[in-house]
Amino acid sequence: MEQRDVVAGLRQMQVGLCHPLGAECRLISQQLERLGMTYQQVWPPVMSDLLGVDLVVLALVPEAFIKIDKALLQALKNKIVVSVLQFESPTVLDLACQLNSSSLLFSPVKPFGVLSAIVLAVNQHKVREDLIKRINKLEGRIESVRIIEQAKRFLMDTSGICDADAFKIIRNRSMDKRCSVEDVAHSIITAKDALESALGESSPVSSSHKSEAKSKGLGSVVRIK
Amino acid sequence: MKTVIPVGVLFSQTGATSVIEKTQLHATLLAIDAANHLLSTHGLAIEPFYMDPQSDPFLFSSMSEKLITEQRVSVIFGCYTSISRKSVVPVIEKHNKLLFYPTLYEGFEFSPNVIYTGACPNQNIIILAEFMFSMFGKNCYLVGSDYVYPYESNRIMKDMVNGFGGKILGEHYLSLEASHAEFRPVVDDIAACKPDFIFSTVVGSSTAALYETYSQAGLQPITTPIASLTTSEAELASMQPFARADHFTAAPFFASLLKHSPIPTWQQLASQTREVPVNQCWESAYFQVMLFAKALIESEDSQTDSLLKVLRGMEVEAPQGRVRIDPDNNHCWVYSRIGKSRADGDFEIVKESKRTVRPDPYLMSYAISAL
Repeated sequence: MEQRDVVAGLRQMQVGLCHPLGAECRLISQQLERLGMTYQQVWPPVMSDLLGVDLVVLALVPEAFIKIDKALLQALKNKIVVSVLQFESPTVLDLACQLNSSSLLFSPVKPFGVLSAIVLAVNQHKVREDLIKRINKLEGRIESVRIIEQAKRFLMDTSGICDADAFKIIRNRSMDKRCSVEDVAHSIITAKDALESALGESSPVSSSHKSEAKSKGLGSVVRIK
Repeated sequence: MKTVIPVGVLFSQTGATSVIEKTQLHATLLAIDAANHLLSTHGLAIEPFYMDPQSDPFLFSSMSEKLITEQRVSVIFGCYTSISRKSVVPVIEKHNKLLFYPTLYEGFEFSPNVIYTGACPNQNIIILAEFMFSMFGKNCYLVGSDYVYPYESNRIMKDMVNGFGGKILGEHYLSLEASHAEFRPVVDDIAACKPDFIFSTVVGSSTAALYETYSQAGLQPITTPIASLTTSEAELASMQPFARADHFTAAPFFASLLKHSPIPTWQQLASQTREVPVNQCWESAYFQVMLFAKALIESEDSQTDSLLKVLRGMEVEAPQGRVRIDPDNNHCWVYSRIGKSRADGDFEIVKESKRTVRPDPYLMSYAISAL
């Protein structure tokens, strides 16, 4: 099995230690120092103090419940969060989940566990980011397919040509104009919409397309670039 | 030649929750006295070492450390607030000693070194919610102190209200030191919302502020009663008499059980405790010493592991009735009762479970449909 260095890159991270001052805060900060990580101690959790921070170690103590409002919660979702739990009660666990905490530390915190929690959190964050990128890409592709379908449909309805020929027309135009097949499809849809509004609802072009679109379950309005 | 067993006692004489902790201290020392009569026939004696942590979690931690390392105590009887318990448990676990914790709390905890003798949520909230829904209605207003116990209790109450088709009309958290003035806007909002009942998880000395402000605003318990888990005889005693009557509390024990008991032991105890507002936390503190004394007699020595062997599943006749330590989770099988408060500071028991209720600290058996 290929081994990766999961610890590499930790030293480049900026850590926000959101923990009230005291013995436990000292313990965590000393362990962060042993790990060679740069950190700043912040309390109470305030977004302006956490702007330049990549990873937040956040103590879920009662004061945190009060200070963490919707705005801070939203902002923290973009950071990597390791929650420190003093209680395993559902309300505390719910807050840890809302923060997308990828890993946890349990009070009283021991030095053993700090590195693991950070590594796991960083890894989970990367996995999540990769998944989001992939989802965005796939959603983009679905949208493209939908637009191209719509454009082909329009060409087939108005010119009486078949599916394959409609696609050839779109593809050839994209090569001529040196742009993407999606862009050509967009312009066709834009033109179709312009045509429909110019001719009005009673136009044979618009009504035949609409009934076809309805029966095929295609959407009607397209993004105009 | 007696074997002396040193024990630690940690309850606060000052701070927001000292109103109850003082009664727990009283119960502990009284129970140790009574236990020593029994233990002397076995050549044993418990010697209590008391320290006052002044409601400071840091002192709870450092004093438990001191009691263990300097006084060589094998067990500590102590703690009321969850934060004080959380400060002591790591120390207890580090030295492998025992903590007997005599207070109702939010559950979701298990330490092998702790014996929990207060009610956990399935033993009090459920019976209270059902009672209030059937007597008054399902629209509820939540008010509590600002820490984990009220958050968790309110979470369960919200769940039950929603499950039964009721509405939560408001939710407020105030500091443990909240004043009358701070409760006023909340009480005014309650008057405007007209809930069927108020669920209060206000804890400690601010309880009086809530109930008095409620009364002064002209709210009537006959239409909008306060239902609580924590308002006990101790809190009633600290309140003006005009604010006390006709509200409800769910607890395993009320002082009236002791005062009207047909059992001579409890009658004697009632006469010994006339000056103290005996309450559910007092009673837990009392019977947990009885459990410990019984364990000392039955166990081969006073080491934690030997004591735990006999404590698991142990039963004892407590003022509330016969209680038992559940061997699976170190919590206690206790009664579920509902008391209606009176102006004289006592409670009239209006509902009670026929048997003790199994403790379910992680609410594994809890489902709305199961009720």
